[in-house]
Amino acid sequence: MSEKMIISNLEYYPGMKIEQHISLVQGSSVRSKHAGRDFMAGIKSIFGGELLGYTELLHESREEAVDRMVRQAQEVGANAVLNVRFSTSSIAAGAAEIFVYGSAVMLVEEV
Amino acid sequence: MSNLIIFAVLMVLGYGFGQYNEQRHYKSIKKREALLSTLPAVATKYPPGDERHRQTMVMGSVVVASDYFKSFVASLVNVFGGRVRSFEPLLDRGRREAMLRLKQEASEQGASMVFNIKYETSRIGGKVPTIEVLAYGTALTPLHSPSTHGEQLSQQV
Amino acid sequence: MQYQDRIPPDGINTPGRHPLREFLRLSVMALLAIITLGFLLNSAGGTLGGLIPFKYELWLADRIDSASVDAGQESPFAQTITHPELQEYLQSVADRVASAMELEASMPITLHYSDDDLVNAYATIGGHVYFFRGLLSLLPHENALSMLMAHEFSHVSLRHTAKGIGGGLALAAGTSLLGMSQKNQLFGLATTLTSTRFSRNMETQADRSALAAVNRMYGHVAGASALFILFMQQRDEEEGQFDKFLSTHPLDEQRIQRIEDLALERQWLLEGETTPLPDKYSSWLR
Repeated sequence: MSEKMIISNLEYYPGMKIEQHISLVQGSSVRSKHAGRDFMAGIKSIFGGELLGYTELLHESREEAVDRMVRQAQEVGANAVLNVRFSTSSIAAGAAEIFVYGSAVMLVEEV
Repeated sequence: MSNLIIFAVLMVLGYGFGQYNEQRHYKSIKKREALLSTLPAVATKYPPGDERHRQTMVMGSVVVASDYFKSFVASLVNVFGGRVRSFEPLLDRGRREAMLRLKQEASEQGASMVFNIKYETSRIGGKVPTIEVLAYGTALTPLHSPSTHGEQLSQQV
Repeated sequence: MQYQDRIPPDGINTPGRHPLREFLRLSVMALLAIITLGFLLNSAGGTLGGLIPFKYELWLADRIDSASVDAGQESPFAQTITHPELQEYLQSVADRVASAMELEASMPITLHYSDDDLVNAYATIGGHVYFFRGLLSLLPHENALSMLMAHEFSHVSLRHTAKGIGGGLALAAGTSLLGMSQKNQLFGLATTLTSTRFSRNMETQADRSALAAVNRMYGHVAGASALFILFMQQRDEEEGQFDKFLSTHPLDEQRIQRIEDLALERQWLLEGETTPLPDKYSSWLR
């Protein structure tokens, strides 16, 4: 789905012209890990280091959020999302939201 | 026993009012979005350079709370992990409302578009999850076009 | 360059399933998980608790006793039977019950009497058994008293107190490790349900062992169910249906039925002459 869509956090796409700014598109995903993982992460956080369970959780979540943003961009007829930004926030204990947004644009080859 | 009754009452109230509020809010959001759709808001930083514009920071913010029922469902999800669907509408409503308020402010200034939109989301605590969404950006008002706020314009330049 | 503001269609960021369906699915999953987990923790803790030698139970009771005296409070084991004749009578029945149950000398029973209307009796750590005036005054004959004592002594000999404490501790530790103790109402209900089942099993075990003891004492089990008929009447007066469902004890009707079933199975006599209580018994209870 997302192969055809250009996603970038640049302002413009070198060599192509932004023909149209179509919409501000966004994707979000809220996830929580199960209690077992929470527990393991709690133990791990005593010693520090990477909390693999959470890295995974946020990674999955980020993928889904991007996917949703891309779907919005497709629905409004864009072929690229520029100036993409991510933000992560904790919504409730154990639940984190990944939010991604950007400008959905129509890019054309520069003549 | 009495705890259980209180819990059941809160659940029913939370569900009933939560659903009602959500539907009503969405209805109003859609109506206003249609009205303000003539005012583009984009995430890119560089406005078209061919015209002079007046720049103003505009922002819109909103604090929304989930209801008791949805928070309980979310706390159950927390045991098994996975998507917390019951918070999705909350965040969606917050974002769209904040954006509408931003656009409202921009349109009152006679702006033609808003650039460099950024969102901030923060959890502001409370027993029932409560979030604040802030949307901000730079509104561009064309200098030559007649504005609804002409007097403001003359001050600016 | 053109600028537009097209509104993306709804539902991409909120592909909402109906919240009630979500709630039902999760609640069922949570209840099942919690009951399974609770049951496992409770049984594991209970088994471990039952392995602790009785002498540690005695030691613990001793510590509680001296600690409360040191703190200037009345020891929970201080409520003894003050009336000398009542003390003598209860002790004699208790001795007969204990010998019928073949209680070991390493497991001494201490009787306590509480001047309270409560229709109840219970056994706690270190073989301390409490009887409330409310219950004693309702007993119709000695057979019911023996059944009551045998039931409470069975809790001691079967190590139910230690098992109960072990199971409760394991459950509390488990739930607090998962960070979901009293905060979540549903978990509270579920843990109550599991520990209720656990203790109902212990009650049934105690009933069976008590009935065997009564049969050994009198040669029949007549009047044993009188105790539960009494509880049944009492409970009908006091409680609603829902409390019964959550009660830690088996339903009284079921207990009476089980007693009869067991007696029939073992070919114990359900009919027989009951031994009356001493004439002055009711006057001792003032």
